[in-house]
Amino acid sequence: MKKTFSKLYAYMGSRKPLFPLALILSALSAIAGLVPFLLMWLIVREILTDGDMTNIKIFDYSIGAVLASVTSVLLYFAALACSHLVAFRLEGDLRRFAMKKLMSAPLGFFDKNPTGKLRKIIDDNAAITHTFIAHQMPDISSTILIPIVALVMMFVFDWRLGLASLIPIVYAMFILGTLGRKGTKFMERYMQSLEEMNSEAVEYVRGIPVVKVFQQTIYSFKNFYKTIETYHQMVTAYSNNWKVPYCIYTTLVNGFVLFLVPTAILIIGRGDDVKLTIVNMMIYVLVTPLFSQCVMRSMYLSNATNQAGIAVDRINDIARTKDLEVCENPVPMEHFNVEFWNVNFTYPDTDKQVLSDISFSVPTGHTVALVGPSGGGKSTIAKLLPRFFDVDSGEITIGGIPIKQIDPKELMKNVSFVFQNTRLFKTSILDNVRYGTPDATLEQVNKALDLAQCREIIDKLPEGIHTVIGSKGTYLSGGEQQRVVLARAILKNAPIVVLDEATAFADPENERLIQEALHKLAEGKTVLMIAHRLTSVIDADQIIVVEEGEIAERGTHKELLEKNGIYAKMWAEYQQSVTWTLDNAKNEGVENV
Amino acid sequence: MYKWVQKQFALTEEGSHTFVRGVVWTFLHFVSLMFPMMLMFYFLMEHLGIGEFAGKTPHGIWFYAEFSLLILAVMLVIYAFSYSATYDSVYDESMRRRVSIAERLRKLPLSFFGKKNLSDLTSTIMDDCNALEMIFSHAVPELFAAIGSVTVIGIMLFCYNWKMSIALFWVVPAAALLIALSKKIQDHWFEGSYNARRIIMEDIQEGLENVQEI
Repeated sequence: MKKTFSKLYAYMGSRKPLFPLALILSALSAIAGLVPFLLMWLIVREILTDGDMTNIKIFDYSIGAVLASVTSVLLYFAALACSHLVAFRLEGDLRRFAMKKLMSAPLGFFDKNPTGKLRKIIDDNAAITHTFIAHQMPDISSTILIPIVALVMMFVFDWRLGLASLIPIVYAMFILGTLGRKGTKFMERYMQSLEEMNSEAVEYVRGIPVVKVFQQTIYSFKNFYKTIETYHQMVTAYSNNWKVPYCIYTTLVNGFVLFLVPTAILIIGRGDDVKLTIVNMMIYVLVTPLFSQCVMRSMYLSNATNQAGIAVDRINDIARTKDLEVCENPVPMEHFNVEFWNVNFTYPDTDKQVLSDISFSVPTGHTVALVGPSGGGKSTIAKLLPRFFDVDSGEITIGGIPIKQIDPKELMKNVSFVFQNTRLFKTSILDNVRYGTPDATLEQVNKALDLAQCREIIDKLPEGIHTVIGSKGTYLSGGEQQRVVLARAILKNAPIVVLDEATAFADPENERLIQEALHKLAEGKTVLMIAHRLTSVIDADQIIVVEEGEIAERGTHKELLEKNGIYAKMWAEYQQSVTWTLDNAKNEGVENV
Repeated sequence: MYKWVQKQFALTEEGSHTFVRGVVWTFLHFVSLMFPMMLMFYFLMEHLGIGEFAGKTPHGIWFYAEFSLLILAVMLVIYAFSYSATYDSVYDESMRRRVSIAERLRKLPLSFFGKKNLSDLTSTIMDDCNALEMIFSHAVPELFAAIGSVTVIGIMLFCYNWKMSIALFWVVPAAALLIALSKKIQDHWFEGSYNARRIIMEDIQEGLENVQEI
């Protein structure tokens, strides 16, 4: 419990002092809340012993009880106000902290963790800490104080009645308590299965358009269904597990009076005063439920404390993702030829080596294309250059300097990446293009947009370059987005360009424009490209065929064709597929006529 | 009545039946909470010699012990039924709801997915399902059962002593009035904070998805 608090304390910022204040206010409220019970006991005693209903004392007691209740409510309100102020700060700070940390995580981290899952982890867990601090924490002082006071009261009045009302409740607590320990473990599994269900849901929804377009089987639905079912089974098993103890508990706690009455008869039978015994019994009838409520609440609280602790841990886990190692004395970059020296690489948390002994070089101003079957390791090679991941062994150098010795910021400045799945921000086109180079002038941005063949996109937008993407129905097609992203890279004007060619979804017109934009981007740069269409590699200075994590062949288009190896075969297949599509298109055309 | 419940709470047909069952058992559970108090008042009246009990010898310990055990047994059985009727069936219903939403989504036209924000969509499905699960297992049957049992118990108490009952029950309409009056204000603020939350969520998602650019 203490550990959880120190974890939470760290994120409260300047509102820290409000937290103990909330606890004190809530404790005072609890004490004020107990006063009416004592007064009620006094009233009953007056009535039973005196028998005079017009007794002036009874009136005073009643007024006192009302005042005490009102005070208690007001104090509690103040406590909640304080705790909410603390909780809002805490929640915000946790979110900010997690985002900040994620921004400096190695980019490869996002390949492994779906963004939907990360978002949910941050969001939900921050919300849990809010509930805990704002709503549950203030109760902690009353939950501790009231049972103690109630316990003292119970034994001061008549210890025999005290025992009679306590024993069933303590037994009930004991039954629940033995299960409570299992509960913590369940909570962890519950959160985990909830998370799994959520990320499967994101996958599922994202997959629907694809499924619809390609008429695929509903494989993703099965996955989602499975997580729903697992979740359902777990919750049901959990609820069954609690059934018997919980029923016994509820019955005993609500039926404690049934133990009290026979005890009272026994006491009276032993010759004690009837009226006094009954007056005393009243205090037990009033105070015992209070006692059991508070103990119950303390169980919820310890559960909630655990949950809040787990929530912070989860956010911390994300934040603990290893940052990129930053070299202490970075070497400035001067030349921009890229070289891979005997690179071996295994993805973190896996055993299978995906790249072995990769060596090649891209001289300044040259273009090297990586081709090969998907899953062969081309994309992995490209991801190593911007340090999405660091290599296991071997070295990657730029201008002869190992990339680990280059300041990441400088590395980023000098390398542009254009990836398949790049998205645009929901800001204006201007801001989107300027993203990598915030101080670029409007003129420069316009030039970059022209080079990236974006002029016609801009012209058709209502507010031109200032149009906010995603607002008022302004959406760009995939090919158009690609071009805007290319304009961003062109504006950045980095000497090294890493290109993951994405022409798969573009229509022919868009593809032509994209190719043109790519040409403009690559002009005079050192380019490492991953090619999916062999037509775009013909002009490359060197083509590297990557298969099963190794370099199978290398050379120019001409050389490789003469070699009559893998590449020659790929080329032949590719040519065939192109003519096949053309034939098809022709046939369709004929049909349409 | 099932039809009405089904429509009102967007439940499946099976769900509406279990819902009604849950309300009924919870109602019985609430009513059963009165039994111990009834026994205690019988005891008080006997021993203080109030009304018709004046001058009579009170029952002995065995009478009370036997009744106590009987009442405990009845309460236990009623609560066991009410537990199954609320928790277990709510989780079943919740699973049916998730699956049917998932199937519904699949049938929507493609254009829907272009227009809607997918992270918003999925989080809505999942969070709302969760909230519904929570509410239907914990709050809703209890609410209806409470309304029912308060009414029944209230009527019984009024028959017994109407002056005392008014002193006790004036809080019920007062609380209801307060809730009704503050509903508009609450809704307004809640909507504001809900929207703010959605914006934060979108920003986080967007930031995460575009982290490669940064």
